Amino acid sequence: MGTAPESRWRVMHPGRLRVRRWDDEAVVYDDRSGNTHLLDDRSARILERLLAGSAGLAELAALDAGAGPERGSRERREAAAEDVLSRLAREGIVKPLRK
Amino acid sequence: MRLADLPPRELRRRLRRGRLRLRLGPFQVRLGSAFPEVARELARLYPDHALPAAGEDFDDWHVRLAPPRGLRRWIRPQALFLLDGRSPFKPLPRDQSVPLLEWGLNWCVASQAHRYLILHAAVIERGGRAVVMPADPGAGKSTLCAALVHAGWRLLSDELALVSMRTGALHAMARPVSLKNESIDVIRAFAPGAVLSDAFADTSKGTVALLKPPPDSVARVHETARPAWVVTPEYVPGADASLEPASRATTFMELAHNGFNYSIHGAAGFDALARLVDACACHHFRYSRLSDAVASFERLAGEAAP
Repeated sequence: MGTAPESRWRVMHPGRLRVRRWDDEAVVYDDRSGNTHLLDDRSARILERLLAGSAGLAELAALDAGAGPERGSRERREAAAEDVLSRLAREGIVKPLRK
Repeated sequence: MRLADLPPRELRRRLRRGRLRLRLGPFQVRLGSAFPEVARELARLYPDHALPAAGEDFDDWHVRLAPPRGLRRWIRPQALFLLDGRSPFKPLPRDQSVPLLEWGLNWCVASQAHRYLILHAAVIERGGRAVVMPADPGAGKSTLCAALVHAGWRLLSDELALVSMRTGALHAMARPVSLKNESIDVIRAFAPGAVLSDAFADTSKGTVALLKPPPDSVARVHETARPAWVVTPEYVPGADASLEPASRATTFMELAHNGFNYSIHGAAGFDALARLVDACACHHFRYSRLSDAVASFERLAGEAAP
C-alpha cells in the first residue's frame, strides 16, 4: 500500500481576482463575490504562487521555508498552509484539484 | 455671485419658491423650504458659496424641506427631506430641519455621485497635498478636522472624501463641519472666532452644531488636491499625541470599510483605492489635546512628499 497522493490546489477564477501587495501583507479583491480580503505574508505567498498555476501542498508549504526558523518543521508548515488553503477555499478563491 | 450677496428677503423668497440654487464644489443643488430657520442657517453657514452663473442650468439635486401632510404640520411639527419630491427618510422633528438638510445632502452625494469613489473620511489640504482621515463614529474625526482647518489647513470635506475615478485627485465641497456633543464647546474654546450654527439637541447623534467652513476653503473649492497621507485618527482621553506608521494593506481595508460606493465600483473601485494607498504615507494618530494634534500635523506637512 503506497502513501496517499498529495493534494493539489488551484485558483478557481484567476481572471476575477485582483491582488495588491505592500511589504508583508496584501489585499485581494474577488470580482465574483465583491469581497475584499486582507492577507498576511504566508497567505499572500500561497495565493501568488497559485495564480501562477496549480501546486501541491508540499510546494506551497515550502514557500515558508526560507522565512526563518520560527516557521517550524515541515509538518507545521504544511499544517499552516492547509489552514490558509481551507480559509481561501471557504471564500471561494481556491479549490483542490480532483485527484 | 455668492449667497451672501443675496439680500435676506430675496434668499427667503427663493428658498420658499424652491429656487435657491447653490454650487457645492462639483455639484449644484436646488433648494426649497418655507422654514425660516433653514434660511437663517444657510445665510450663516454658506455665505461664501457661489450661486450658479447664468447658463449653469443643470442641478444635480432638487431638494426640499417641508412639513409632512396631516396633523404633524401643527402637533409636534416635523420636517421631511424631499429629493425630487420623494422622501428617502422618515421625517424628523422640525427643530432638526437644518441637520436633516446636511445629512440629506450627504446622502445625495454618497448614493448618487458615482463618478467618484466616495469614502467616509475628512479631507484637508496644504501645499496641494491632502490628508485623508477615515474614521468610525466617535473617533474624533470632525473635531480634529475642525481644529486643523482653523490652523492653516484647507477644508475639502468633513465627511465625504471624493476621489476622482478618472484621475485619483481629491475634490472639495467645503461644506459645514458637523460637531457633536462635547466637541461643540471644545471647538468654541479652540477657535473663538469660529462661526457655528445653533445647537440642535436630541438628534440621533446627540446635540449637533454645524461649523461654517473657512472662506478661503470655499473660495478654493474647485482646486483639487493629490492624496499624500491617510491618517486614521483616534481620540483617546488623556493620551499624548502620537503618529505611528500604519501598514498600507490594513489602511486599504480601513478605507474600503469606510467606502460608501466601493462595492458598487467593483474592480475599478479596488484599483482606485489601491492607487490612493500607493500615493500615500499611512499613519494611525492618537490624540487628546487639539494643540498637540495641530503640532503633529505641522510636522507632517513639513515632511518630504511621499
